Amino acid sequence: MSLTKKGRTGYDKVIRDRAIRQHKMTHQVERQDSNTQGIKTMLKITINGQVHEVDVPPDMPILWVVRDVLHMKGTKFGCGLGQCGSCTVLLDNKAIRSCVTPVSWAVGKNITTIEGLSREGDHPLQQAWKDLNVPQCGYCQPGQIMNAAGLLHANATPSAKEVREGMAGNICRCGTYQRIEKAILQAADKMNKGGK
Amino acid sequence: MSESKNQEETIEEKIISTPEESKGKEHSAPKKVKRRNFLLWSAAGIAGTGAVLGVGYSYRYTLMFKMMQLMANNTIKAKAFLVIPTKGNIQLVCARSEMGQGVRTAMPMLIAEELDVGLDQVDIIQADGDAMYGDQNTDGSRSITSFFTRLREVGAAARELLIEAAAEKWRVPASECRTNRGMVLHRTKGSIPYGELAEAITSLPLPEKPTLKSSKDFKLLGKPQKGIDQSAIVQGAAPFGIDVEIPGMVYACAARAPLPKATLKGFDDKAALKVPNVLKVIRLRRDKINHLVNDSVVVIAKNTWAAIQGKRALQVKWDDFRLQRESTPDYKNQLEHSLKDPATWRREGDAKAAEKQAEEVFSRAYHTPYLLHAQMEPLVATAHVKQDKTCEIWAPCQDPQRVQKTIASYLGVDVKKVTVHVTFLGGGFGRKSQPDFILEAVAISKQLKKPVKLQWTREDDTKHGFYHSQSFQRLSAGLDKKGYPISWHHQSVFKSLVSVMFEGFDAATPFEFAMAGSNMPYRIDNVLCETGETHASVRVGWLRSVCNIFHSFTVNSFINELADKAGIDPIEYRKTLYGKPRVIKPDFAKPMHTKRMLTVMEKTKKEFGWDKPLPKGHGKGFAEQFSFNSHVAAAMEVSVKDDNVTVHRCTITIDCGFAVNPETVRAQMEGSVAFGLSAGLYGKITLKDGAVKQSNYHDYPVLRMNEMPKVDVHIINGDPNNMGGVGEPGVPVITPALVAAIHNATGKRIHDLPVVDTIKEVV
Repeated sequence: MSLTKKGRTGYDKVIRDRAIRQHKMTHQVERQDSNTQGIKTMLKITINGQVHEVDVPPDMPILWVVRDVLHMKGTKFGCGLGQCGSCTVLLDNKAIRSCVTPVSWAVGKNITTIEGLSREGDHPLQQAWKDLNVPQCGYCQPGQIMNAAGLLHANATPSAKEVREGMAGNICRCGTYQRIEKAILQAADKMNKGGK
Repeated sequence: MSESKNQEETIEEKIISTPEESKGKEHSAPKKVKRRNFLLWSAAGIAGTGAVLGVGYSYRYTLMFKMMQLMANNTIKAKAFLVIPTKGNIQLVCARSEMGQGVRTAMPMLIAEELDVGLDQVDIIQADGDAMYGDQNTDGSRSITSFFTRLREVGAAARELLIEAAAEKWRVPASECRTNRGMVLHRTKGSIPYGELAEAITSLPLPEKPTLKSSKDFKLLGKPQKGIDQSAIVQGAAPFGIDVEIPGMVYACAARAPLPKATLKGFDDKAALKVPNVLKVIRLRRDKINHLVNDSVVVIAKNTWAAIQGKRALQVKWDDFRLQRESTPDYKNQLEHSLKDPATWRREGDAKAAEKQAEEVFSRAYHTPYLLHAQMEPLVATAHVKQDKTCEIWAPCQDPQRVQKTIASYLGVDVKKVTVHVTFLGGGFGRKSQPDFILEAVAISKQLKKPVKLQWTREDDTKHGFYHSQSFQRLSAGLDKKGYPISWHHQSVFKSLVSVMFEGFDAATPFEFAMAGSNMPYRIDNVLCETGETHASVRVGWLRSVCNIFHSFTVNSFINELADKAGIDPIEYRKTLYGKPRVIKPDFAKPMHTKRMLTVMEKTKKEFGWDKPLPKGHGKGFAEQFSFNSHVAAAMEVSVKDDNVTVHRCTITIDCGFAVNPETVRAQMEGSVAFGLSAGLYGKITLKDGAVKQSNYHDYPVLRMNEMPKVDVHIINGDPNNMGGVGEPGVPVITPALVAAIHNATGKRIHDLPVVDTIKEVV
C-alpha cells in the first residue's frame, strides 16, 4: 500500500476503505458458511513453515486461530478493525491485518508470525529494534516489526518518507515512531549489504 | 538443584504460556519464585521506617488524607527485594508495574549499582501484589524518586555482608576486599562469586546503615541502559495480560450498560448461544459488585473470538430513564454556569481590586474535552476463584494492592487470600490503575467456579473508560503599562478524580487545581484561583499527567497571548515574570527552583535555534511547566496548509534532578511529544444522552508515524538531591507549544481543543 495523499484525511480514507474491503470479505465467508452450517471442516494452514489442521469456523480471523487455538501469543489484539496494526502478520510475505482476515483466506498460503521471523530473535529488524532500544511497553512492536518486514519485502530500499507512510497503519501509543523509522532504515541497509 | 524441584518450578512458570518459554531471563516476569533452594535475603530493617510517599505533601485536607490512605500503603515491613541463589543469576525484584516507562530496568539498576553486579547478571522478578513491598501503586511518576535511596541501601547492605563473609572465609580484613561484577576480590586470595557466599551471609547481622556509593563511582546509574526486556519483546515473547492462559480456562466478553447507572431491562441470547463455541450467557449486577462496574450480560465461550461474536449477537435492552442524560454541549454550559458562584482556593493580595486599577483587563475562556487513554492492549484480566475461597488473578494492573483490597472486600475474604500476579502492561497511562475489569473477571469466575479470561474489545475500552476530565477555564489578568500582569484570576472547573473513590464527589479538589493551575509560579502580587461545582454521570480517572494537561494548556496559552500582546518574545516575557531566582513551595509538590526552570528554558531556546529565521509559512511555539517535581520546556515548529497541521520538530528539555537511566528519560520525552500531540490535535470523547459516542481508533484518532515530528531531547541533571518524575512531566508542555506555533504560523488563536475541530473555524 502506498500513500500519496498527505495528511490525515487522505490516510483515514485509506484505512476506512481497507476496513470495509476486509469486512466484505468476512461477510462473504459468513454467507458461504451459512450454506454449509453444521458441517465441520478441518482447515489446513501453514504457519511459520509448519502445517496445522484446525477445526474452526472458516470466518474466524487468523489472529484468534493463532492466539487461542495454536497458543502462539506474539501476535496481538488491538482494535479488531484493521485500524491499529498490532495484529500484523505476513501472508505470503505481504503484511496483513490478521484481526480482520478470515482464516479460510490463508488456506494454501504461508502465514509468518513474529515467532517465525527468526529462530533466535536475530532478524535484522529485530536486531535494529534492540540496538536502538525501540520498545517502550512493547505491545505493538511485534505488529510493527511484521509490518516492517512486509514493507521491506515490497521495497528493499525505502526512503524515510516511504517508511513513514508505509508504517502509518501501525499505531504505537507510547510514541516510539522516531526510533522505529531509524530501525527500519538501519535494518534495510544491513539487509542490502547481505545481512540476511 | 535436583530434577524434581526443577519440575516444580516449571509448573509455576507454565502459568503464563508463551511460545518462547524457556528462552531467556526476560521471560521471568510473572514467575513465582520458589524460594526453597535459594537463600532469601531479607531487607527487613534496612529500609528503615520507610514511608517516603507523602514527603513534601501538605495534607491540608482530611479528604486527601483518606484518599491517600485508601490508595497507598505507606509501610515497608519485610521482604526480599534481592535473592542471591547459590547458583545462577542473582534475582532482583521489581515491585512496580512495567507499562513502557522503563521501571523494570531502572529499579533493578538501583540495587545492582550498590551490589556491584551488571544488568546482564541478574534476573528481574516481577512482584505480586503484597503490602510488604511498600507502595506498589505505579502512578504519579514517582517509582524512582520514592525508592532511590531505599533500593540502593538494599544493594549496599548485601554487598557489605558479602565482603564480610568473604573476609571471614579468607581470614583477611574486610577492608582489603573489594567487589566487581558479582565477585568479591582480594589481591592474594583471588576471587569468589557471590553465590558461594550466600549460605554464609544468612548468619550475619544486617548493617545498621550501609554506606552508599558516591555518585562519581556509579557504573550504571546515570549511564544509558537499554531496556532489560527488549529481547523478549521483539520476539513476541513478553507475556502481557492478554497472553495469560491457564488450564481449564474459559473466555468471556461482556455487553455493558452504556451508562454506569443504567440497569438491565431484558436480553435475548438465542442468537448468541448459536454461535459456535459459545458455552453460556450470564449476567453481572452492579448493585451486587460495586460502583466501579456497570451492569452487563456476559458471553462465555471456548475462545476469545467466539465470546466476541456471541456478544455481538446478543439483543440487550437497558433501562436508563432515571439518569441525568448528559450531552457534550449541555455539559459545557453546565461547567461554565457553575462558575457563577465560585469557591476560592488561592488568594494573595486582591486580584479584583487590582483589575480596577489596571491599564487593561485581558480575559480568555478555554474549553478542553474528555480524553481517553487508548492504550494499545485493551483491558483484559484472568481470574480464578477457587473452592477454598482463595482467588488468583493475572492482570496488567498498575496498582496490584488496590486490586487485592478491592477483590478481598468483594469476596469477603482476607487480602492474603487474594493473589495478584502482575503481567506486562500493554500501555497503562492510568487506565489500568482502576480495578473494574479485574473485578468483573472475578465476579464471572465466582459464578462459573472456573478460571476465566475476560477480554474487553476496543469498543468496550473506548466506551467504558475512566476519562480524563473535560474542563472549562477562564483566565483574566489586569495589565500594567508594559503589558505585564499585576493581577491573575484563574477559574477552573472539571469533575474531580476523587469521584473514583467516593462516588458522587464530583467537585474539583485543591490538589487537582494545584497541578499547573493554582501553583502558577510567576511573580504576580494579586492572585485569585477559583472553582465551581459540577456533576457528571460519566466516570473520570487519571490519565498520564492528569490535570496538568488542561491547566498547562491554558496558563501557557494565556502567557503566550499576553507576551504577543505586549510585543515581547514569549521566552523573555516569562523570564521577567519569574524574576530573580527563588524557591517556590507549591502545594502538593516538592519545592520548585525557578533557576532550574530558567536554565531549562535557555537550553531549549538555544538547541531549538529560537532566534533563527524559520522557513516561509512555518511558525514556532514555546511552553514550560513544572510538574511531578521536574522542570520541562518545549519549543515546536509547525506549518499549516488549509486545515492540515504538520508538526516538523520539537525540542524538549527536562531537568528531573538526576536521570537514573538517561536512555529511558529520552524515550519518555519522545513518547510525551506523541502523547501530547495526540491529545492536542485529535483527543476528544463526546457524549450523547450520557453515553460515549466514539468506539475505536477511527473516531478516536491518535498520532501515527507519518505525523510524528523530529524530537530532540535534552536532559539536565540539575540537582541529584531533588529528583523529579519522568513518565508524565513531558506531556503538559506539548499542546500549548503546538497551539502557540499554529498562532505564530497563521496569526489565529485556538482556545478550544482539540485542534482539528477548531482550526477550521479560526484559520
